[in-house]
Amino acid sequence: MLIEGDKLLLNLKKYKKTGRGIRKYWQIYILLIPVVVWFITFCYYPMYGVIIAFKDYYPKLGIFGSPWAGNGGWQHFIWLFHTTGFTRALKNTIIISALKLLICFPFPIMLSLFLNEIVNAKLKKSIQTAIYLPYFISWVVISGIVYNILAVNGGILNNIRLMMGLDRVSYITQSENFYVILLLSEIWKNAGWGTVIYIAGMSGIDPTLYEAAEIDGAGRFKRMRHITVPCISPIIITMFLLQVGNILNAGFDSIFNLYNASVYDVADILDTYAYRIGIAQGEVEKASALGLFKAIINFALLISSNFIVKRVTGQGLYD
Amino acid sequence: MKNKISAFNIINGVILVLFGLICLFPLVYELMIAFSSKTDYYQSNFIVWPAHFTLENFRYIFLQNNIGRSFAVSVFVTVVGVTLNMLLTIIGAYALSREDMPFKKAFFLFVLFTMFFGGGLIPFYITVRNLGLMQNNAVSVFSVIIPFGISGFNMIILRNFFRAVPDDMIEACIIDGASQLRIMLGFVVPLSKAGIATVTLFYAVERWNDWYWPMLFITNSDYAPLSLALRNILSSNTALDAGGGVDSTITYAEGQSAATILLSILPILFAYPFVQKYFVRGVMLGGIKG
Repeated sequence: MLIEGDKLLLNLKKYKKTGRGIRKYWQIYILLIPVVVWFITFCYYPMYGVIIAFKDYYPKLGIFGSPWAGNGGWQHFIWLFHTTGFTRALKNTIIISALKLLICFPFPIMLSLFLNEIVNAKLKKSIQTAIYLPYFISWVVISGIVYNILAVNGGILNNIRLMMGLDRVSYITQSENFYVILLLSEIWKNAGWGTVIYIAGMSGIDPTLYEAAEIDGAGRFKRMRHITVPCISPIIITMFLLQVGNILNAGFDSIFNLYNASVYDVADILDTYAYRIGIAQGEVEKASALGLFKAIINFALLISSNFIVKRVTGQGLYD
Repeated sequence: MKNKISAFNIINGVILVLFGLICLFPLVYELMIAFSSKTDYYQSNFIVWPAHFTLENFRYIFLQNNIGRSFAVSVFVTVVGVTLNMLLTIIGAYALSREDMPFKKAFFLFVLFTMFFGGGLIPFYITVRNLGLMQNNAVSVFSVIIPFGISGFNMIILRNFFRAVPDDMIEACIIDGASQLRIMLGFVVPLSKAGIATVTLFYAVERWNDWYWPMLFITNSDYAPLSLALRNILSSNTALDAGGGVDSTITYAEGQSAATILLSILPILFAYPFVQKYFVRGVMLGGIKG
């Protein structure tokens, strides 16, 4: 009886505390209304909209009123898994993500390791200014620059080929060049900016570690390998897992701006495919099915990578 | 030993400077093309050099492609969009930063979930269309502003800045009888200037560079922002017969796209040297901490 009473008292206290908190923050709650409404309208309502994937959508009937698709609603998914466009897009997505992980991911790490070795502060600052800049340039602009550099007539690459006595080449319409073009532009845009997080980590390393290592006779590369790299390895692991979690996002912006019909066989990814069937061809149900498929796998991957990050570093990505 | 180190320093410096130059080169390259004439471009042997310096490419995009109007649309979208972004984000971030606020945890999960899962392209598209934001008139400009009112990532970055404001300072405000609204606007926000600057800039770059959603939602090319106009110029990429006071023997498709490219990165280039430090600090304090 006493215990019950205590519980009641405790609950009462809790409610009182909550009540006091609400009174304290009432203005904030009112201000939060538009924020919550925004999230419901533009994030949660579209989540409800994914049921289009199980329907035959008629705009007049609305999402709710439209009839269910055939095969118990799974018609569009069945179509999806039987079309070669989808399997090709899935394959390309994974290939491109893997290539990025293999080539683009280590690049900023190397870059920041070497940047960290520059003694002259002014030089370091100037280099950083130059290499961060491309990050702020949109993929539309980058594709324009890429087209100009690779242009058949007047492009610098073809001019060099002519100087060497070779024929002109139309780089952007050849499938075998696409990954090279994509990865190089990706590095150009993001590698410099990617160093920021590692440089920030390196600036937190205790300088006495380096001094002690120097006294012990460790050379520059030894110090790099045995002090710098271990100290930033939690960041490396976090970034790596984050990228693995995003494996189904091979980068819509870059590919959509750089590809063309003649390189679809290697360049078409899930996002570009969804865009073409959904927006260009108006097959909204099929594109929604593809979107839902992607969102669910993506969700699982992100949750697991967040979980592993929490295990390894003791802190979740957004805590 | 000392000698070896300095040799390393030199090689290291040279390689990094080279990478820095590679990062800048494409922009310089576009600069050359934009001011070159058709002859300069097609008769170039190596790098395009503006031997016959011309402004004809710029005149073409202003007179024929109405780029001035697109520039104005982009400025409008950026200014109005970022204002809305900041209003909503500051409120959300402040709520997330108050540990003792009831339902704070629920609100955090409410925001966090949207960062892990989304409805995808089509349901979002239908939502925007059903709200009546996709019109064939000026209303459509708001279709690339309102649906992009908040970025969960930026909200969490700002929350981290707000958290850095010492608690006892806020307690002192409460004892002085200040309301939460006063504390937020008169105290926490001014003390987090660096954070506000960072997030404002992240949003501004996003709004300025956005081309995808304008491509989907703004069907009337009169209201196309600059980035979309550039995309249209690039994908048509055929110099139309020039008229209206533009000399077609001088201007050319590549030159026009280069001129548009320069115009669209101009604001970024101008602002960049002043704001660079904020971006860096934003990432350091941002969501992704090791």
